[in-house]
Amino acid sequence: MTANGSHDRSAEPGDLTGRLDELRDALREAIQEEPAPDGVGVAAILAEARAEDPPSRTTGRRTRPAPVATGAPRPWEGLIGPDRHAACLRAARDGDRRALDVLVAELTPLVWHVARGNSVGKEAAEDVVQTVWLALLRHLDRLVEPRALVGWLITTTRREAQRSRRAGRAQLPLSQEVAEQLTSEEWLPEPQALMEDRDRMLWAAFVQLPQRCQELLRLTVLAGRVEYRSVADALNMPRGSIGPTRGRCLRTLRDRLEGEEGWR
Amino acid sequence: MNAMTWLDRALDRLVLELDPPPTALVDRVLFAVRRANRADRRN
Repeated sequence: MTANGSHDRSAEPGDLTGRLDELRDALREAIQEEPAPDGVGVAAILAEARAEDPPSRTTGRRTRPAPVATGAPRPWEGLIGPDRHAACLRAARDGDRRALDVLVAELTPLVWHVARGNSVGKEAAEDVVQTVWLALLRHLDRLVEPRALVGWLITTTRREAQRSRRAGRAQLPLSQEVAEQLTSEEWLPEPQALMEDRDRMLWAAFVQLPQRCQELLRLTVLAGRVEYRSVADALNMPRGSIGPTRGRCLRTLRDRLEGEEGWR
Repeated sequence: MNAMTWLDRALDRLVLELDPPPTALVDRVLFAVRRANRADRRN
């Protein structure tokens, strides 16, 4: 124990310190495996990311240094959008595990909706999301422009979603009968969740829109976090066309709904 | 509120309420990422 009350880890033998770190990691993961109520899991991760001390490792096993002194503000604090993502990415490259936690907590909804917008079922979408984050981990040092992280995530998720769909088709011959079953099971939410007929009709019309419209509408729902510019780049669309294209998709949706009996 | 504005807001609400990522998904991803990180460090 030092004069200021903290443990002097450098006084411990290297191997023992490494083992303690591993046990601490395993304990944290075991705690985080316990299901949390809606919204609490992500909030807890973000709160932990702000409050918890960065890891201190002196084992020599780590190739990257822990960059942040105990109690120092995290480099992404107070930042938003691409600046925040870039700061997290740089910190993660330098070995700050909390930075990666923040990215996963904040951007997993985006990755999820890209996968779902590419006609991937819920179960397969979970696998796609995990695969994309593991791919980011492998490519941490190779992303040339950290501010373009959101675009990289969208592009990588779309590719992985396409790969997942191809794999799914290879396992399951797509007869007309199977296709109808998939549509109802994979896309429509549980009936009990649809409290009103208008919601049910709207959702049914939404899932019949062209895939590109569904993807664009899902992505722009998250526009508070995902800038139109990143969406445009990832979808290979001119930046000024996102708004008009979205408007056309909404008009198509409206036209379909107005043709439905009982809509008005 | 005109029809398009209503549609726009209703769709936002439906996407967020009816098709959110599962609550446990973030935890699952974090677990996988940390396990991969540890494996990288060992190697």
